[in-house]
Amino acid sequence: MKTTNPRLAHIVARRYRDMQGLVTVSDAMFPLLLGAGAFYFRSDRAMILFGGCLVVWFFVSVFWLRRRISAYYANRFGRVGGFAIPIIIVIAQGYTTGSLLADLHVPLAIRVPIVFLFLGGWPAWIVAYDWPYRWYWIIPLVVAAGVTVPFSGRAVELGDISLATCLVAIGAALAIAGALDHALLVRALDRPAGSEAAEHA
Amino acid sequence: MSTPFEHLQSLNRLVHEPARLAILVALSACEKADFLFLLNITGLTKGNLSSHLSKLADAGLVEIEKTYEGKTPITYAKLTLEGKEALKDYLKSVDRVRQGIRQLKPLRTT
Repeated sequence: MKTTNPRLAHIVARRYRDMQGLVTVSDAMFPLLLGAGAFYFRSDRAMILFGGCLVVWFFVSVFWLRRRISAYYANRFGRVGGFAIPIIIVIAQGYTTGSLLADLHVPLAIRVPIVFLFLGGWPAWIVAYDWPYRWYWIIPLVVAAGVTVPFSGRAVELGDISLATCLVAIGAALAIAGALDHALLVRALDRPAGSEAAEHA
Repeated sequence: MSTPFEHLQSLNRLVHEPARLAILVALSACEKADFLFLLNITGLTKGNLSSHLSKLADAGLVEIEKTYEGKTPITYAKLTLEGKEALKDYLKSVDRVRQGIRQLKPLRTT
């Protein structure tokens, strides 16, 4: 038997689908690329071409890559019942809700907590419930706190550069958290080579 | 008044065995898990896991579901209501034993 901490085993079994970090990394590429594109492509023609590439990436990511990554986890570590809502959808809701509420002239004091709930709610929940194992979700939480106020205003008023910075920060934070989730999953579920033979010896 | 040793006697031995306890704890955290996942999370060998799962299934604590994903056969294990109750009772019993042992005053040596 392995000497995995029972609490870690419990967390891994409960959150196995959320902890498939490579999925989070692939999702994080979207805001990361969008932000990077807003930084580097200044002309309309370049932005249109880049936008086309992003749309292609979106479909590749959702309909092909996600399935491949899930199959990789299923074949390497096994399958657990249930489902997980992709965090990127929740974060995208935060961004659009901020713009929508600003258009509806909802006061900033009401907009900020609502937007923060979308952007930082899920990372905060992970940090609180899976502490100390998934402490690194503090990074997306801190980034969420940092971008909440700009996102609570109309996003278009942010200006290209500050919007790009926010998107890159969100993408990078999610990518880091995803990579560390993957590392934790490997640590908890990887069987040492030759363990089967050793147990029979 | 019951003593910690009486509580120890009352522990469910089917659940108390470390490998079976590991399986039950893992299954209690999720809806269901397949054989490979249980193999990885418990670190048991295939033979041991299979044997312990059979014992748990025979006792009605775990339900085994065999299915196919494409052409791949997959064996899922799921905790039954009885299994959830057995695990809950076992954890309560362990708490009682722990509380009982805490009340014992250790012999002071100089």
